[in-house]
Parts: sequence; structure tokens; C-alpha cells
Amino acid sequence: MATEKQRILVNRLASRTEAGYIHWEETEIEGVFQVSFSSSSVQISLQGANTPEPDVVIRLFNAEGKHVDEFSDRDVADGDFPAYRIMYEMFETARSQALGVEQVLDSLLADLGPEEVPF
Amino acid sequence: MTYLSTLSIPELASIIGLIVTVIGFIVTIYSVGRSRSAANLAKEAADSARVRMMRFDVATGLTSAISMLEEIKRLQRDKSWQLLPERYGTLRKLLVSIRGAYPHISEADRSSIQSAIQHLANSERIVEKVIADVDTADVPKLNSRLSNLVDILQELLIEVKNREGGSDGN
Repeated sequence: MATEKQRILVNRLASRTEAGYIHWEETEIEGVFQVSFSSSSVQISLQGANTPEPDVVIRLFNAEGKHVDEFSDRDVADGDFPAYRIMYEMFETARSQALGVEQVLDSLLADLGPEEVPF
Repeated sequence: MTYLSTLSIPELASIIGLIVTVIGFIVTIYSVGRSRSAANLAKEAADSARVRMMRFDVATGLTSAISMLEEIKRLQRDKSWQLLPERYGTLRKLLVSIRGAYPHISEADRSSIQSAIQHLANSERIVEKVIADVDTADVPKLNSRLSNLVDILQELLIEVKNREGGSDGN
């Protein structure tokens, strides 16, 4: 079943994203992040970003960069699979990686020096 | 020698014939071994030449791809939108063929090429929307992304050329 495969894909992408094994990058479109493998690419984005619970959308692209499939957290959610939580956390991590948030934080902390000495 | 002197002529001829046969067998095996080594050497030389030609084709392809990226950047600065979809499509196909033509490419490099292909496809979709007058394009952002792709392909080209000059034959 395609939906079951999509859930497996989400789980694997999420775990590898969390572990730092795959690295997301910015795309030409604001708010869309992608990761590429040997012959396919995945993009992740939010739909309805200004709403309280935006949909997290994953798009799949083939070896030629053509859009072949997409699904949201609503499409793959069921009672046992917390799709929204998993996909939203993955989106946040992807965004952080792509924008280099960690590096910026590290740089700021280095510039600010050690913790303040109490007077 | 005393034993040999007791042998009849047919028996002596038989022993000599056996010795000659054994010597001939050893010579044959040696000759076959040498022939196989020569055949293997010829095969290795042919394989090495084929890999070198493949790398040359890939290096030529990457050089063309980099040149095409620079042209696309120029056309985008000039906002020559109508000319761009074909350039993007041709460049994507070129990268797909480079990836397919070079089996020795590493997984990391294969992913880099796929990333480049995907970015080009993304940009092509944006340009199509601009042509259809349903969107605008941030040219500096698009060109900045293309400059990153130039760097990626340049690194890959250097890697291919370094292998070309290596002695591993792979």
C-alpha cells in the first residue's frame, strides 16, 4: 500500500534527520527545504503556515527532478501513527539545518564569551 | 645405464617418446600461461582506455554544464525569460546523462548531481510561472543558487580530472 510506504518513508526520513545522517538545504522557494539522494529528492514545507496547525507536506521528485508524488500529514495519519508530530518536528529540524541555525548560535555564543561573572 | 642397455629398441623408443610427450606438455602449459597473461594484459589495457574515455566525456560534460549555468545566470539578469526553459531542460538532461555515464561516481557525488538537477527543476518551474505571468522571480536569489551549483560542479570536475591523472586505472 502506498500509504504504508509513505509512513515508513516519513519514519526513516525523520530518524535520519534527527541523527544528522541527512542534510536538508534551502530551495529557490521560501519555506521549502529539500534533501537529495542518488536518484531522487524530497521536499518538505508547510501549507497554511499562518494557521494554528498547518499541514506538513512532503513532495517526492524523480531522477530528472520531476514531481511524482506528494502527501501531507493528514494523508498518512492514523491512530497509531502521530504523523503531524513526526513531520512537523522533521520540518523544524530541516529548516534549522538548512538555515544553519546551530552554526549561528555557536558563533554568537563564541562572540559573547563565557557566562557572565556575577559582580 | 645397465638397465637401458637391456631394453629393446621399441621399449627405448617408447621411453623417449614419453619423455618428449611430457616435455611437450610442459612447454604447452607454459605457452598457454603466457598467452593468457598477454590476453589479460590486453583486456586490462582496453578497460583502462575505456574508463579514461568515460572520464574524459564526463569532464567535457561538466565543463559544458558549468558554461550553461553561467549563460542561464546572464539570461536571468537580462530577464530573457522566454529563452530559459529550454536552457534549463537541456542542462538537466546533460546532468542526468553525466550521472548515468559515469558508473564509478561515488554516492555522495551522485547525490550532489541529483541536488543540482532538483534545483534546476525548481528554478525552471519558477521561470515557467513568470512567463505565464502568475509569479515574479527573485533573480539575485535564483542566481545565487546557480552560483552554488557552479561551485559543486567545479569540485566534481576537479575530482574527475584528478582521477584521470591518477594511476589506479579506475
